[in-house]
Amino acid sequence: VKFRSFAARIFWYVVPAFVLFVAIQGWVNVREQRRLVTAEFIKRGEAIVVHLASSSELAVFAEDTQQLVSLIRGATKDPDVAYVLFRGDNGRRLADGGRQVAAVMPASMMSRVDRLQSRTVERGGERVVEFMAPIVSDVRKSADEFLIDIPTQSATAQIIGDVIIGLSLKGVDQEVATYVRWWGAITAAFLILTTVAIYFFSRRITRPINTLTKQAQRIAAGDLDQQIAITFRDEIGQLSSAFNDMTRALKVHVGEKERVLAELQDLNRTLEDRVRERTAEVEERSQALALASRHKSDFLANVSHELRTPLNAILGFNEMILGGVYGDLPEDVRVPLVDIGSSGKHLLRLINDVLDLSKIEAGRMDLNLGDCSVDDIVTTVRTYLLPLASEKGVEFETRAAPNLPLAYCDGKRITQCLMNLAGNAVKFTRAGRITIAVEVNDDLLVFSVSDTGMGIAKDQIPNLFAEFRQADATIARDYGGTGLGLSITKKFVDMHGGSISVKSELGRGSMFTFSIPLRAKAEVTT
Amino acid sequence: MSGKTILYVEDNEMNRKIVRDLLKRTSYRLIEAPDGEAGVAMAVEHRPDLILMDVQLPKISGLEATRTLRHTSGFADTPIIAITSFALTGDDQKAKEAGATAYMAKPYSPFELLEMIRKLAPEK
Repeated sequence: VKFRSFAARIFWYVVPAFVLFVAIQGWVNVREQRRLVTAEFIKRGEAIVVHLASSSELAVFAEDTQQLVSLIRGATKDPDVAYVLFRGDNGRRLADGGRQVAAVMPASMMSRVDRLQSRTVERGGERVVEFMAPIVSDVRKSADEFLIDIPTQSATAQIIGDVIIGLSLKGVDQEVATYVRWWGAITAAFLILTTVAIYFFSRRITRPINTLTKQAQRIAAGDLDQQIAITFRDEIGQLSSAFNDMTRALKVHVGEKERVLAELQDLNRTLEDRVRERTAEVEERSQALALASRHKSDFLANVSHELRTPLNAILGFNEMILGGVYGDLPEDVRVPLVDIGSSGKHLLRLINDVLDLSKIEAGRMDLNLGDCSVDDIVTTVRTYLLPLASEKGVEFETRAAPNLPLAYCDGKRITQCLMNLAGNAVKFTRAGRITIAVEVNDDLLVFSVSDTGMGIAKDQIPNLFAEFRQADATIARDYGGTGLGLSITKKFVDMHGGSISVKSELGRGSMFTFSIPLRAKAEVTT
Repeated sequence: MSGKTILYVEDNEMNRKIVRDLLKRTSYRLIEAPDGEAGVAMAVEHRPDLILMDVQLPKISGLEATRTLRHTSGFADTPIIAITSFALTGDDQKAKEAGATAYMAKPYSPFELLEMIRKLAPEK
């Protein structure tokens, strides 16, 4: 919206109405004044002409020109009287006079005047009201009666002539013009006064508003220290006062906010410092922990290696004794020697598991990815476990989907995984059947091992893949095993980017399923 | 006995004794070295027909000794069987890269080892 000052607005609302009002008032007044003046003028003219008619009766009757000229001279002393004419009963001009008498043409005259009448004419460039009255010869009638009664053609009254005067309107026009000028001056004065009043009035209103505007701009700019000086106790004064209150409140508020903000920033900084400190501490600790963990893993790896060297000797000698390297063997010694052999192999497996796990945990286990035949993996496991299952009288079945493609994975590790699961199944199943199934699902290679064994309690399942866990502590006694097999299996599956899960019902059996991508990606770490 | 000579480089006496006992009834002649350096020196001196090289050895490792021998004239075709206790991924690869002919993971079955020896260096 275009800016238009308040003063201008008030000016355009008020002044036209005011001026129009004053002008109309003036026009009405002038009209009334003109009417009054004109009425006065006509009364005056009639009085003069009637007076002349009555006072000239004898002179007209006697055709005394001298007397008439004297009357004319008397009448024309009034500057408004432009001319006077006396005519006889036949319309003959008896006497005349006045400054405009030369302009009165006989042709423009009424031939006969029988009553008092008047008309406006122009004589010699001057506007004139012409008054005419008959001169009546009637001695009985007084001059006053003429004014009241219209003269009649009575037997006693006879028109013997008439008198005509021209009364100039110049005076009237001048008077009216003066009046108009006066009113014009009043209107103009009014206009000026109104304008000035409006200017001061609006300034009186707008100045504090401007002050408020400037204050608002200052506040917007952030300066809250200024207060507005209040000069008048009116609505704007109240507004200014409210504005000052608002500024004060705002200052308090902003101050509070700034204080809180500063506190907050301070707190933030402290917090950041603390977080940094703690992070450093945590990092330090985690580094120490990682180092400790690596030391532990290194230690385990070394121990495993050191354990295996004598174990190699034990197993080696045992095998050679059994193989007859040291001569023939009594049959009753052979059985405990076989037991030594199988116990030694068991010990070896445990050591291998510990070594694997410690390597995985130390991050030193790398997958040896390559193309491998899924059928070979299944066959290896079957070849190893089938005799053990048969020995226990448990059916052992492998179901591989036909035409399985080559997988890209660490064949040894996947074989180990399947061996762990199937080995557990054989270990924990007393009767029934063990089934190994392999299938390709989209781009996943899915292995599953199901058994009709003892099953696993629901609350044990979440812990199943943690290290050194077996569903029941007594199981280790009855069945042997480190409890590392499942956690190693899970870690190898994870390293392949796969997943492992178990479904089990206590007393009915378990089914372990793990799936790995058909094409494992390198650089998958645990 | 004028059988083939086998050099066994191994620091553990018990393991050396296993192979010693294992080969006692064969025509192979066994010579032994307790570390990598001695193994290389003995190989150069006796020119064995086959070398059993343990990987974990004092002084220089079995892999390094194998590498050294492969760069020594006359050892380009000598069968070398690497033996390690780290039956882990990549060990066989490393042994092959170093120049080993075959690989045996510890603990090994003595009879399997003998079978491998007979395959690489037949007794007459």
